[in-house]
Amino acid sequence: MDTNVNMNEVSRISAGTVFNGEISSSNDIRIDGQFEGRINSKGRLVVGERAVVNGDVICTNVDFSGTMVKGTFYVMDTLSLKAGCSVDGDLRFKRLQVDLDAKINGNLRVLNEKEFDQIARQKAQEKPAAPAQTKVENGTVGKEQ
Amino acid sequence: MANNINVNDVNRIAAGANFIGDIATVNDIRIDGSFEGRLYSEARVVVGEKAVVKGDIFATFIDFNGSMLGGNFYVKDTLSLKTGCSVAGDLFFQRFQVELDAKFTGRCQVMSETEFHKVAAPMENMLRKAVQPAQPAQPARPVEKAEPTI
Repeated sequence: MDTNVNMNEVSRISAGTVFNGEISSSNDIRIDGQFEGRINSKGRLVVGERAVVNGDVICTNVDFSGTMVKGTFYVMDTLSLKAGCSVDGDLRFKRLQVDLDAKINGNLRVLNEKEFDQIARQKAQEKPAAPAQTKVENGTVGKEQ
Repeated sequence: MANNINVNDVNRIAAGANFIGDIATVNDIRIDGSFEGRLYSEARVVVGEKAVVKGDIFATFIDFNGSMLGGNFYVKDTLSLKTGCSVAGDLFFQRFQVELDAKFTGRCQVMSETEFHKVAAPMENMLRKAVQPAQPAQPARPVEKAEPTI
């Protein structure tokens, strides 16, 4: 990673965390927990070894060491699949780097910048998968019992 | 804050990042960007000055400097509203601290731990369901070292 990245600018989903929804960011993102939904970043996405990702990733650069359950990578520049990672999904990228022992199940396709812009715009308009699987009733504390 | 917190364990929504959805964690969360949805932390939630939050927050501790546009705080231990923050919503807590110049519109109510667990149950379940199987099975006790054989 670039040495000039300020750690305070990196968004992070740490181990022991589960996130359902959508992230859009102008900076880098690091995931070590569980993610479900869509990631849209203009920076680099780093996915740790224990991380589990389920959903579409639209990013400029991706370093992937984790597990992708289902989804598609759209990477404007370099997609890097590290040793030990496992991906069930399609890869669209400009440049690809794969380590020995990276497991991939899916289609690979080169993507030019124009196509990427089009997809990014299109995906941004789509509704994210509704995260509302848990319902909380507001303001009921104290009225009970 | 305690010194024994590993920075890598802290979740962070950095400035320039926008999260929409539900997040549940056993660790701390720091927010400097914008968050919309439901947030559950078994530790501390720190919201920075420029952060914007919309939705319910469930946590053991909250240090709040940002602005909250709607939703409730459910705090198992201490809720702390800092100078310059602005909050529109109801607050439920065990202990409460407000600094001068914190803007607050809403109701305050003391809440027992039992009540907290009742309202936070759906979020606790989300965390338990998801995080438990993901963690690799730890051996119940350390594997005994094989005796050196010569």
